Amino acid sequence: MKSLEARELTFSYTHQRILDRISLELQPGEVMVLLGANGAGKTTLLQALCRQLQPDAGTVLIDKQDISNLARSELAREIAFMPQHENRHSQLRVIDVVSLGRAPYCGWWLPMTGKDLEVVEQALNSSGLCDLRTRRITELSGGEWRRMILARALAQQAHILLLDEPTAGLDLKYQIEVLTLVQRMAIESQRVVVLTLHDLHHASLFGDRLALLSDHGLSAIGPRPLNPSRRIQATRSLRRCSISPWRDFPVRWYIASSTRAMACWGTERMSWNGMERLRRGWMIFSISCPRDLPRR
Amino acid sequence: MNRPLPVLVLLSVLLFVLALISLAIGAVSIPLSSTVGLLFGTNGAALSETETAILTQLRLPRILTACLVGGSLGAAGVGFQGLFRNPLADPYVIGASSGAGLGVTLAVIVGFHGTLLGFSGISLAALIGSVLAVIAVYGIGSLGGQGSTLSLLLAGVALSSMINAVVSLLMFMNDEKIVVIFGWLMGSLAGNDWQVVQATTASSVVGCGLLWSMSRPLDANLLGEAAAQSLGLHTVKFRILIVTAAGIATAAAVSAAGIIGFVGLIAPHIARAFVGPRHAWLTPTSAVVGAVVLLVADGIARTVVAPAELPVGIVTALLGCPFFLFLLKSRHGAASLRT
Repeated sequence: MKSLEARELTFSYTHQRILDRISLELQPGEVMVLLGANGAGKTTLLQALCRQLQPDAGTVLIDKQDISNLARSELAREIAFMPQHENRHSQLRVIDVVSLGRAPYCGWWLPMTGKDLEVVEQALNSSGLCDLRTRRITELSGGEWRRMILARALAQQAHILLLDEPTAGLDLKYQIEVLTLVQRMAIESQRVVVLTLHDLHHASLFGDRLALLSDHGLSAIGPRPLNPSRRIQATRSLRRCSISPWRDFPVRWYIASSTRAMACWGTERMSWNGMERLRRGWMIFSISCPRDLPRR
Repeated sequence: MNRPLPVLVLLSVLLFVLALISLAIGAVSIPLSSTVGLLFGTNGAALSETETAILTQLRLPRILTACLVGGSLGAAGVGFQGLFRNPLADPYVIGASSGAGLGVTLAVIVGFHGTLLGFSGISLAALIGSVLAVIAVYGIGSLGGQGSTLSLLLAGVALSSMINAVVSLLMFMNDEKIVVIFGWLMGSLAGNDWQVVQATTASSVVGCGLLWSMSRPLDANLLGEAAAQSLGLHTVKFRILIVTAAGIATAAAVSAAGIIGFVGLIAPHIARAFVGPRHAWLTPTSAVVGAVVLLVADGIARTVVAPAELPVGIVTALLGCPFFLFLLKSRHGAASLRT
């Protein structure tokens, strides 16, 4: 059980600031969903959190310990990162990939011990992949493949999971399956989970806290809506920028073009993907939320 | 495919049998029983002095060199295909062959005849040329701290093209030496003695051993760099180690036998069809397959027009290509196209 904290994290690509002094704090067992338009910096933030990208400034702390002091293998025991895209064209089998999760423990050169094999078995069991252990990864469905990556993270026994769009490209059944597994991983082993999603409904169902990235920073961060199905309603207006929200609904979503503003509420029917399809160039420009609402 | 150990053992036995047969065949035919007798000390006296000299001073070092060169190329091919996650990569992909070619061309033109550790002047020039080219490619590919496997690959392709152009220009300007240079560029195992075997053994064992020890990192790298990093792999160190190990193995092969194409490309694919993609099995199997392929090709090269012989590189391409295509069309072969 370890906590994750980011302090004043800043990152720029050559000429472009992506993250500007972002601070986060997550407790064991907490699931945080990062939301934001494409290019808002969600993936960059995850990569900076696990040191795949070196931030220009700021620190990431695990249990108050700066991760820049950790060796790669030590870091891999603390943080497992699931990138959005992995090479799926290899002929490796499921068990080979899951076994790689033990590399931070048995090293890159030594054979796996009995304990390592046991952990791999448990990971396969927990993710329901026992029957698929000898299947080539090229033959897996999208959902099975995501489950395999999560099983690898389980075998890695990391305290913190960073998942970049774990439901991308999956149908609804597999999305729920993967997110349920993620939620279980967080609750059962008190892991910190940070994941990016584009579906507001799923974000409100599976995230303990939601955070919105826009304008290089965290525009808002707060607990999920208490009862999304009752409180969220479709309300759209091209004229009004500020619509009075239900008082305890924590997050207001606005989408605006540079010329005229449009307010759009996240709804069950109007998913984030739907919003994104509205028009290129539209961006989230404003959000407000009471930061001091108690966690559910 | 699920039983890699028996496959590896069978291939090793096949290699041994082929080596025995290769000893017996050639411009002077020597009975198989006599060669076996000589090797195991049972009835070596049945051979004449000339036959004994042919076997011990010519054929045995040549066959051992073929095995070492084929094995090095097979293992280096696995290393580069795994590093670049690209089934088209071969041991020469980051400039080893073009560097060696330039070294040889310069040595022939200036008439360099030094020897070191049993290597002739031309072999030494090839060794130095290939190592320098690999270092240059790695340096250019990592410029500005933006090193990635893709930039390494592109730097290799670009620099190879440029060096090849320089080699062509030098050949064009020195056309009286074009036959010597061209003969070497096509690869040959002729004239290798025990000193070459010793030197090649050392570098082959180091290169192949390093590559084999990197099996798990190579497996992780197949999933992509981000995934490999998340598993704790230091990707920059990994790239340097693989390039060094595969570079040593390739330089060993190039210095002993010139540029022998195709073996380093097809051996990993054939091995993958037999034992699957896990590098712990793939690397040694590919080395054995590479040795088998080169041994067979060399046997053909030195018998088909005996007492003359063909450059072995021509045979590997002429016979290896149809076999490779047949393999790729088969059920398992199609899968082996993936790394």
